[in-house]
Amino acid sequence: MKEGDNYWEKMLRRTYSRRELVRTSAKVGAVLAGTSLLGCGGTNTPQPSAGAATKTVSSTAPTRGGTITLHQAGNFSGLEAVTGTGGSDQQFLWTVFDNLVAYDKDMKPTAERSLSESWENPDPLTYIFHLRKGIKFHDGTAFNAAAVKANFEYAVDPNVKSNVRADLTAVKTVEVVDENTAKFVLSSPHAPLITILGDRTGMMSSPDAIKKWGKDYIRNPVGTGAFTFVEQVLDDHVTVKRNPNYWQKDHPYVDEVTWKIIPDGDVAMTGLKTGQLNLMWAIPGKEVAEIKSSNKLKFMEREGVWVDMIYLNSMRPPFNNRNVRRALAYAIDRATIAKEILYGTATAAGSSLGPGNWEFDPNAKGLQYDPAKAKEELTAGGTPNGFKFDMRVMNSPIWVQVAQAIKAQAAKVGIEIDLKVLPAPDYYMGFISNAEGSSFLASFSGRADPWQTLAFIFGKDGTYGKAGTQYLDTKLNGLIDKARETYDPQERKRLYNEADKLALDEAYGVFLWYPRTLVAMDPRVRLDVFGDGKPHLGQGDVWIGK
Amino acid sequence: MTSYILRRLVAMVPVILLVTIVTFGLMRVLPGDPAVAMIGLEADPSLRQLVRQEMGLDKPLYLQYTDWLGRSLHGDFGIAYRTRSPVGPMILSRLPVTLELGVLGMLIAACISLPVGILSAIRPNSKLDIFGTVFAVTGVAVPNFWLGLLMILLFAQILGWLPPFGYVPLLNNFGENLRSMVLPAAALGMAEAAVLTRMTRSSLVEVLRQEYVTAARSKGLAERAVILRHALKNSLIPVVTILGLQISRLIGGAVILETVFALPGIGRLAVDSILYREFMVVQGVVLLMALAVVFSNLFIDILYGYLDPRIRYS
Repeated sequence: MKEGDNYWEKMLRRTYSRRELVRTSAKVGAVLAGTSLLGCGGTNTPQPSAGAATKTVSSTAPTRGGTITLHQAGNFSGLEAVTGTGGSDQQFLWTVFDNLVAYDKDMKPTAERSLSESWENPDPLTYIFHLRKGIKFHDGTAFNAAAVKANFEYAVDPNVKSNVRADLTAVKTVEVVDENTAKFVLSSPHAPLITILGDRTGMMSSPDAIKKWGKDYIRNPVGTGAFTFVEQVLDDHVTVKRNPNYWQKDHPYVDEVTWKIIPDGDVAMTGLKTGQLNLMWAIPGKEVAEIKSSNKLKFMEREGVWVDMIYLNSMRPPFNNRNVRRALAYAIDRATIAKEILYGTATAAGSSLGPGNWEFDPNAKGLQYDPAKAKEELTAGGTPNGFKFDMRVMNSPIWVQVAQAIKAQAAKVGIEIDLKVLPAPDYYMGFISNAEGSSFLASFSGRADPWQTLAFIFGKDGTYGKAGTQYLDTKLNGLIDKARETYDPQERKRLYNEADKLALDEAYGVFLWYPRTLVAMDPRVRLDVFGDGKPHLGQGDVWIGK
Repeated sequence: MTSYILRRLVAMVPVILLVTIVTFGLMRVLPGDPAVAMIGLEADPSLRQLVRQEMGLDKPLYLQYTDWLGRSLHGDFGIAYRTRSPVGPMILSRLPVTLELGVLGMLIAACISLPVGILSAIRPNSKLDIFGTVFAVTGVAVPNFWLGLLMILLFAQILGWLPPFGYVPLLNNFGENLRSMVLPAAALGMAEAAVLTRMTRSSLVEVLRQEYVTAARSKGLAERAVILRHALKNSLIPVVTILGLQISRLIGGAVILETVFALPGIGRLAVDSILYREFMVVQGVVLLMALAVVFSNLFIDILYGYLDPRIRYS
């Protein structure tokens, strides 16, 4: 060792004193210990094994066990049916709650899935529900006609922040005929009620639990469902576990369902690919091609009830002019946007009702892309050289691309669109609360019954009617009201389609396309995709095979 | 020293009060109806008035503020309206996530920046120094969420070494907790490391030119002792200043990374609450952040006194 060597020179010549050796070994040991942490695996969700490569699902009998893990972008707005407000809560609600009348995957009410064995309409103002016997809520209390009555009273209580009140305006009272028979007495005929009961409105909560928790019931749901609520850690996860006393024998098949709250869709997709999730609902369009060709994941799709649309303020210029609205509707090449920007995962729309509703008319044309007609309408409307308006849109990459494509297409006929890109909820909030702006671009999630869709968007008591942004068309409202009172399904379907055709003709909204429901999952997961486009994981709806 | 600290604490009070008033005002000034933000696009419009009443929005503004102030002095910070969860416990339960992210991020930043900074300073203009500079400029320029997404792609999807998202509480499983925090902390730490590296390097270069360093060397002290025991401590003062400022940057970085990595922390809570007009939650979170910034500044100032004996507080 030369005199005057500094520390670094010494290191290079690798002459260590014993103290230095001990110190270095300690550091190396620490690094090795750290690296070994990377090795300790142990995720507790099943990894898709290399062997399970086949995509063809053999029709084996359902098997017991396993956990379904899927994701949600944000917290559920509420864990119970009446006071929750989000359109994506139902996937949770249908695990913990059953419906008075439930519908099947084709949106047809079916007794097999319902808390009612049967129901009838002795006259237009009466519904009688014959309830199943011996069903208990998760807290041990009995489900019976008194419970149905209590649920109704909770749903229409003026002090309760009830989101289903509008669905029940026609119901005057609910009477207990006997232990297992409940009678709904209506103030006016209400045919859609049976289908509506398949959603929030018909979900039955334990009256004892509602009384016990009061306003906090929104965090402590108690139903009759296939799963019981375990816990919610906000922004992290929600878990439900199998109800061993479920009234449907052998159901549910899986032991547990967990929703992980993951805001970023790409990160969630990674989770599906690495096995953290075994189910992903509403996958991004850009992933479809890869998932379809992958043998590690299974892809399912189905037409749903969602409709993407431009909401218009038809109460003031420019859209208080019918020709101007129609011009915009003609100016948009829906099929091209669906193909190029949405990766072909949507179908051009000619109706406000999506194909998932059984009342859907596949022949409904609406106003499709026709620049010549757009120009004609502009001239007829007194704006031959076009006009300008502002459109709000959510600040997600796909929506912005869609909005820019629409803007470019509209510009070709002289319509100038001023885009305002905003985060949720700002992009719709101003429009709804203060009638700000001329329009906004968004998805409508659809409803179990078309009456709800038509009333919600065009009706005088709907969100937009109340907001003062929707022109209250007497003829249209008349049709909607008449349909509501028509019990004959075929006649009602005809009326729905007539109302829809009128709404499209008047271009009260510009209906763009129907996004299909896109689902990716571990190949061992078995489920059906329902027409409503929402995950149904309760009852016997999902199981994990081999 | 004690009287200094006491005076600082007293001076904090008007600052904190002002922050809460400004926050309150800003939230009320935001456009749109909070009730619509609360209940969303698909809900029944008849709910709005009821929601507004329940949120206390029909009361005069000053009353809304003094109500909140009075209750929070008793430890009641209100409830998050949509989920009906009490704000205080909600924030406390999420604080460890952000704290851990911040601390780990700082540690990673320190572990990278100190050695790289020191080596760069000792061998200025060498290959190592140039590498250090490039690293520093890249680190400052690259957005940390993009870096985070790249890391998820590499380490979670391609290599499969680490989970892409999710948080396991520290007390549940130490190993899994670290695995879930490594990627976000690294993404956060990289940007900080870049800044700290530059600061360490330039500060150390400056110190190494001082006369007392030459004196120490001429006394025969080993170079390692000169650097680590004498020069480094003095060069740390500007670094410590930067560190104090970085705390606010860390909170900002945490917001984005918590969203990308799906960590249930304070940053994500803050953003969501502002968007959905959860007034109570925003007030609580901003109060907490203001306290954090104010106390960390005080801590840094006290740290100076330890690092540099010339600084004395009276």
